Amino acid sequence: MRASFLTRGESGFAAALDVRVKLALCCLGSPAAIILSSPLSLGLLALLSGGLAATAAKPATLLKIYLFSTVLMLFTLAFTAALSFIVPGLMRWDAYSLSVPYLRMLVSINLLLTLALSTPVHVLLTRLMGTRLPGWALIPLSVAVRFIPTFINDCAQIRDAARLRPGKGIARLWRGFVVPLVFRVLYSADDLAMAAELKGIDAAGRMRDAELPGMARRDYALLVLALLALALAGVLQKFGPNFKPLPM
Amino acid sequence: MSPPESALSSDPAGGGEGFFPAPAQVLTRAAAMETPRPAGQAVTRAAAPDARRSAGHWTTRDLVTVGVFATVIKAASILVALAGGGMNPVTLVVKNCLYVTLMLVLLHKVPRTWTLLLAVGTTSLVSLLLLGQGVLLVPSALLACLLGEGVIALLGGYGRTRNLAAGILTAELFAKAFGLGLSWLSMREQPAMLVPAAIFILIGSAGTFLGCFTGVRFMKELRHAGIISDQG
Repeated sequence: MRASFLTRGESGFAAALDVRVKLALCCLGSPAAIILSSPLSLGLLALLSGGLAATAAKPATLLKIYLFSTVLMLFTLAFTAALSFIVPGLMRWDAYSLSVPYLRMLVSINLLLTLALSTPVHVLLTRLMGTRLPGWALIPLSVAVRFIPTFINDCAQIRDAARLRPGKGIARLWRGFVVPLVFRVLYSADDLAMAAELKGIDAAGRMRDAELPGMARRDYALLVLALLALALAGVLQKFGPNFKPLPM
Repeated sequence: MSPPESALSSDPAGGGEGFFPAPAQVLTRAAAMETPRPAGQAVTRAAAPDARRSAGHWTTRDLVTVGVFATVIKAASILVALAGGGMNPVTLVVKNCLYVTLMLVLLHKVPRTWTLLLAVGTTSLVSLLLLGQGVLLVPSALLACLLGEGVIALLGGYGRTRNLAAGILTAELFAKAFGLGLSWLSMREQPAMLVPAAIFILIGSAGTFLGCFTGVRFMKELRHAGIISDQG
């Protein structure tokens, strides 16, 4: 059971990492990328995070995601450039101001891709079962993660049924997709809830059958490397060359 | 016991051992789906004494419903966004409209304080773990939901549709504002690039407003179908 067909399955380096490590990398990397403003520091983080993301998904998949992100970024850039003709001085046309925001986005995208593309649903579910989260947080989160494949199947069935209905545009979307979807979801929620009650799942921790496994050496090694990379990025920011806006 | 009966049984004592419940504990499907409440009654902890409670506030049924809706809200929004190709203004409006509509249905189905916060928290965590949503958007969404919960409480609680719509609207608008603030932090070297982002957020906000109306209309349909009990 996988969340998507984009992953390498469970064979890549990123897939073998503990979910907690990947989450920690995201929690460390995203704020660090916002705090840092040196192109050298951000370039270093983008390079390292890109290497990690490359082990999480197939190269073609990564390329498609990067291309899609680039198109969106270019679209934003073109829109802003068009506005700067109307409001002169709105856009800063220098290498520093144009590169740093995109490097920040690249770091965040790489880390999030590593987490999202290399974590199969059943692994995430097992890890969630072993956590010490309270029942009110654990049950909805586990149900949400487990329900994704079921929901995708439901959507496919509703879409096939919607093709038989007359109508066009928003009305068809509403009557043919949204309304059946909500009804289906309400019934699914009731069925699942009854099943959960019958299994005796409650806040007392009956879901927690699985023990959370300890982290492997590679997990600790990656965490240490990540901290070292962040420290190096900080040193580059503080003592590295001072980048002034360069005119283009 | 036939499979339909077993599927409809309830075990208020709490344990999974009671697999063969007493006849009085076997509920009909309609009764199992929704516990009706008097119109306009504020939701309290005593409002649904028949079901097993989890963490003293929500029942297991409530928590499962929140989990299912969290997936559906996020996945349906993404499906609509992808159908429009990412930056299509029409699908951007539809996406936000659908989000608010589904959230309104959820808050009617699970009308307990903090449900909005729990649902958005679950949605955000699923997005973070599986869909690549930004880490920093999670706390900002939760903060916005706290404000939404505050508005619902100020207006009188989860008992009325208008309170729920106002709470969702507040949470959504503040979440968008916080998201824009985070975008400014990321693009502070080039603040002009916030202009397209702000325009798209404004378009999305139009969908949020529209979602309040479609959500109310949808609730009428669901009440008519007997799936959601009358209130508000």
